Order: sequence, then structure tokens, then C-alpha cells
Amino acid sequence: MNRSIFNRIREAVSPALETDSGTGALTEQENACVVALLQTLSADPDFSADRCLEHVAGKTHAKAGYLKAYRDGVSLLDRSARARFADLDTAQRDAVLRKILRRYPYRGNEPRLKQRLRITGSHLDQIFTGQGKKRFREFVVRDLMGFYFQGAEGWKIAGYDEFPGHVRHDDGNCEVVKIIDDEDGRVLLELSDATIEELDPAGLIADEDFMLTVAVKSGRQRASFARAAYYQLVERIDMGDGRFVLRIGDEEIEIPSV
Amino acid sequence: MIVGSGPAGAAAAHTLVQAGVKVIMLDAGARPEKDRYALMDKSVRGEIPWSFPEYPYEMRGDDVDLNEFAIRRVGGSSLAWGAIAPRFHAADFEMQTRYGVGVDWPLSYDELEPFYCRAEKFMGVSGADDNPYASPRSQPYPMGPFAMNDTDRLVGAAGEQLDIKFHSVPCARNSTIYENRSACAYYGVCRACPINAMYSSDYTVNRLEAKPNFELRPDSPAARIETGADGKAAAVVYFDAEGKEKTVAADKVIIAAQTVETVRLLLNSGVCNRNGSLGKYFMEHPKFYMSGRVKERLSPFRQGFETATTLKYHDHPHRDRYAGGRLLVRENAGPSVPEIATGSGLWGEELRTEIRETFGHFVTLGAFLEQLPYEHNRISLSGSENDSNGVPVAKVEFKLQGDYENAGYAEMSKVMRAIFDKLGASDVEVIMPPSNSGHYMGGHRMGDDVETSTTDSFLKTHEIENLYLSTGGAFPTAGVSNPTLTTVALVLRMADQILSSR
Repeated sequence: MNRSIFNRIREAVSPALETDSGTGALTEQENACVVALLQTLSADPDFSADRCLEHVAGKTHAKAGYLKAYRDGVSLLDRSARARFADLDTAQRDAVLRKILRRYPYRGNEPRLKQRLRITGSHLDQIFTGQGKKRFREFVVRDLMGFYFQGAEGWKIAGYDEFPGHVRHDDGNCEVVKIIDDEDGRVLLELSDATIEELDPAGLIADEDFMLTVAVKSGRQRASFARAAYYQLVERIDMGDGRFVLRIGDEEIEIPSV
Repeated sequence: MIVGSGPAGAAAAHTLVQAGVKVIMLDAGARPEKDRYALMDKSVRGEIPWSFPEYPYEMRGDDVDLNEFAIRRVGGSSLAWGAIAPRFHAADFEMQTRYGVGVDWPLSYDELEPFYCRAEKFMGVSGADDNPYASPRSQPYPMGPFAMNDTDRLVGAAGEQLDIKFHSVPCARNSTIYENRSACAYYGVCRACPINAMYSSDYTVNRLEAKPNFELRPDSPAARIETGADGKAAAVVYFDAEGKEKTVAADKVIIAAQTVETVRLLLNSGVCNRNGSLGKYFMEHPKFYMSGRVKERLSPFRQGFETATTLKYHDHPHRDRYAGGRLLVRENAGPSVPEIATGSGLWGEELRTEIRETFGHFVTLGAFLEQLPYEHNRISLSGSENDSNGVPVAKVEFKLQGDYENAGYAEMSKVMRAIFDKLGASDVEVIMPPSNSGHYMGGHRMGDDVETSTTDSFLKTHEIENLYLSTGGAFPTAGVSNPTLTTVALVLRMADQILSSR
């Protein structure tokens, strides 16, 4: 088939957000439905409702068209269920989804001939499904799926902890193992995960026993100091009148205490 | 004055500033964000981490996708490049002599070799001397190679049966802590590396800003070069962040603004085109991917970069007839977990089963092919479109593949299919047909003949003795290797020559 004709057909049948419909928040009842939907799509009944709703609110507040798409999706689910979708059990919810959505495998798993002729389940869905249901799949179902399966819970299904993997240092167990003075006068911290970053003096805190910790990884973690690095650092610290002052070059920075 | 802060501009600035030269650097783009972990988070979510005002350009033919590959920020495309850093082959410099195609470079591999070593040290290149097809090297890599993964080993074993040796991939990312930069932590989102393990030139530029003889002016797109009565480059005119024209005088001007914008700047300045060759012979590396399904369960999406390649087909005996190529093993093979989920019409337990049965059962091979220099692939000025400052934009006329490249594609495809055959793979198909790769070369090529080239081998323009053009645009031929390492090597050679001529 001529490529430009195919592209034109694809554009004509593709669902689109109603971007003039504004942004805002779903109601509590609508939120309950969305959480129930995600738990059904993912087969994860214990998935955090708060995380789900934080993602959805991020979309409905920030991107025009998503509020209406989600609202219409909730309405479609409740109408198809002839009840509140959120009140149904798992099997009932699944049955409702089967009424609304065609089921088809991942396109790469379809027979090659179907892929070449562009008659896979996905292609047929585009052509034969009404715009309302297509919008529901594209902007609600796929949005929730993308959110869930990009996270740790999604990657766990493939046997990975998460993307890009999870190691001990990701939990905030970093330690500063060495302090480096480079030739440009920067003070660098070598961390226990073999990363190096520049010391941000504002990130240093001393506790009541003068145990220092420092904010690292753009403030995402608080690293302690290995003994050698600790000694390197305190050599630059003056103590007096209950104050701790760090010297870096000509600068003096007071270290706050907890 | 240096225009452009990518690896070429940064390498020039670093060499000159260290020698005490006063350098002002302009970049059209803004500084990159400080919080690189936030950019990493964006990348993990599948969003594009780097944003910048789009390049306007007029395109005729196969789109070169400037706004995908040429990042308009301080650090340029090195903010999001793949950091693959192989050298060119000695034969790439002598294509006309050896094969009767293309043109010869005005310098040899042996002349450039010491500068390759310096470029590898400058950026920090990890690699191993395990490539039997490479041209000789005089020094070891600054760091050892990254380990191969299970996919590499599987493909490597298949390759052995076909007498194809897969070897490590030289790359500008740290396999160990290097010169006070982090070792790679395998975050897998290289195009938004949060820890500077992957070399990006904003790192060099940031450090230069501590020097009293260096000044960076971001958000300052260059408009034109002004010449004096003596015919030398005298100043660069640029637009500041408020859109006002400013002028900076300079004793020497180095343009390192990626190929297309460099040619555009010269054309808008009305310089360096007496022989009519400026903008012509623009080249790319057509790249394509082929994928197949295997029974083995492999572990893709762990690293974010390739760790196995073969340069067996780089300098093959029939380069007079068809393109050479670099064959590589893609690390992100097959669909990711979210791709399977959102590309499927299933949900619930059925979807979970499908994910488990689909993920990790793919091998993807890729290839970069060489493209010959064609006169019809060219950069000129648009007659109809200007940028927001009223300066004519570039017009790019480009065709990615001719007979030579198509024949190379056919030959490389045969090699790939043979490997997939050895793997017992099913559903083998081309998943990306030949497409451009953002390796912009040619356009202001170097040469000894002033009638057919724009600069000499030291990147000094033939027409203006204090004007230098330091991008991959200087390449007379494209080879098959990613161009940044060779560009940096040429720039270091240029910088040495500038210093020795003071």
C-alpha cells in the first residue's frame, strides 16, 4: 500500500485528545474507579493507590485533554458495568474490560504475514473500534500501563528488580571514601559506588556528636564518611564558640548542626 | 574565539587555555541543567531529557534530523551521544589510491595516530587491544574495556563459526574512575548520564570557566564572521540572549558549531567559497538494525550501550564496489517491559505471561555503513526561510543511499542473516531500514588542492589564514567509525599547530 495513503488513513483513525477540554482534578469517586482499573490491568491488587493517583493527577492537571479522557473512561467503565466499576470484584472487572477492549497479543508476537499485511489485532483495533473506546485505550489504559510497567513492579515481572536495576547504594547507603583536591581548587568526594561529585558545602550537616553527613546525588541521598575521608574533612574544619566552620580556599562556610 | 562548545570546541579551548591563550567561547545554546538525576528520571520515564529551541532548516530529500541529533546546548551533541569512539582505519585516509572511490585525505593515519592517543586520553576512552582488524596503535587505551554481556557472548560464538571475530567497543565512558570522573554505574540511561562517567564536553567547559583566560558566553548564536581589510578574520558577530547583535574581536577564529551550522555561518559570512566547494560532499553513516528471536533468555536493558562489535567489514577487499560497515550487537534488543505492555492488547495475568515469554528473547544486530562523498549532497542557504534573528537558515539537500551504499547494505544484511542462521533465530527482520545516524561529515572538507577543498590538514581555511573549521565537516571520506574521536584528534593537531605558529 502506498505509504502516504497508509499514513493518511492512520491519521484519520487515530484517537486524539480533546485538548480544548481543560485540566483539573478527578473526583474521589472517579479516582476510586481509576485505581480499580490500574489494579485490574496490572493484576496487582496491592499496588499503591496513592502512587497511582499521583501519576494521574500529574497528567490531568498538566496536559490538556487528559482530564476529559480519564473522566470519559470512568463513565465508560461504569456504564458497561451497569454499576460502579470500583465496587466490582476482579473477575467482574475483567469481564467489563473484555466488553470494551479487543484483546490481542503484542504486535511482535503476531504471525509475520499479519504484520506484513498490517492486519494485526492492533491494526484492526484502529480501524474497527469506535473513537470513544480507542481514546480510552490510548489515553487511559496505555497511560496507566506505561506508568505501572515502567516502574519497579513492572520490571519485576521480567525478573529485574527495576530499571535500571537496584543496588544497595540506591537506598542511601553511600559513603564518602575519599576527599580529592583537584588542580582547579574544587573539593571532590569519591563515593563508595565509584562515583565522584563536587562537594556542596551547603549539604553538610553535623549531629550532636559532630558526626558529619553530606547531601549527594543532587540531594537525593545523605552520605556518611568513611574514617579516612572523615579525617580529611575535619582537617579543614575550625571549631570554636560551638560553631563548625569549613574552609575551602578563601571561603568559610558554617556547618549547621542538627 | 571559538564558536561551539561540543567536544571539538572543548578540545581546542582546553589546549589553548592551558597554554595561556585567552579564549572566548560562544555557544548558541543554554547551559545544561545542573540536576542530572532529574534528567535521568525523565529518561527512565521514556521522555526526551534534553530540550532546546529547534534548529530551523530547509530540507530536501532524506531528512538529516538535526533536531534529534544536534543538541543545541552547552556541550552540544556530546550531552546525549552514544560515546562510541573507534578510530578510523588507515585505508579510510586513502580511499582513492586504494580503491578508486572517494578522495584521499591530506594526511595519513600514521600522522594522526599520536593525536588519536591524545584524544583518547582527553575524553577518557575505555577499550582493549582485541580488535584484529584495527590499524596499529602506539599506546594502550587509557582504561580497560567494559565486559561483554550474555548477548555479546552468544553472538560472538555464532560469529566464530563464520570466522567473524567480535571484539570490545572503544567508548568514551569510564570503566574505572578516571581523572576524577566517576566510573560508569550502569544506570542504563547514557543519554542523560547523571555522573559524568560518559564524556560530555560541558564537563571540560565547566572546568575551563575556573581559568582567568577563558570565558563562555552561552545563548549566543553566531551570525557571521567579519573580515578586515587584510582579508583575515577580525571578529565574530553574534546575538545575545536578548537578541541584540554583539561583536567580539579575535586574533584567530575557530568554528566548531557542527557541520551544518558551520557551513551555514560561513555562507552567511560570504567567506571560504571561492572555489564553490563549500557545503558539498556532505556525508552521513546510514545505519540499520536487524532483529531475530532466539530461544535463549538474555538480559537486555542493563547497560544502555553496546559492548561488542566487529570491524571485519570496515576495510574489506571490495570497497571499490560497495560500502564498508561496522557491525555491532545492540544492547537494548527487543521490546522493553513497558513496550510490551503498551504494545499489547492484553492485560492482567495474560499480559504478565506475555511479558515473561517475550522479554529478553531477541538479538538485534546493527551496522553503520560508509557513504561516499557526493557533490549532490550539500548544504547551502535557504532562499525562503530565516531564523528568529532574520538570518537565512541552512538548506540541506541529501540522499542517504546511492548504489555504493545500497550494495553495502545488501552485503552486510547477508552477513547478519548468516549470524542469525547460526543462532537458530526465527522472525528475522529489518526493524530499522537504513536511516541517518547524526554523524555529520563533509561540507567543508580538507585537502591539499585549494580548488576542491576548504581547509588544509590543520583545519586552516585556504582563503583566510586565521580561520579554522573544526568539525567532522572536514572529513573528505566518512569511513565507518563514529566521527567524534577523529574530529577531536584533528582538533588537537590543529591546536598544536596554532600554538607552534605563535
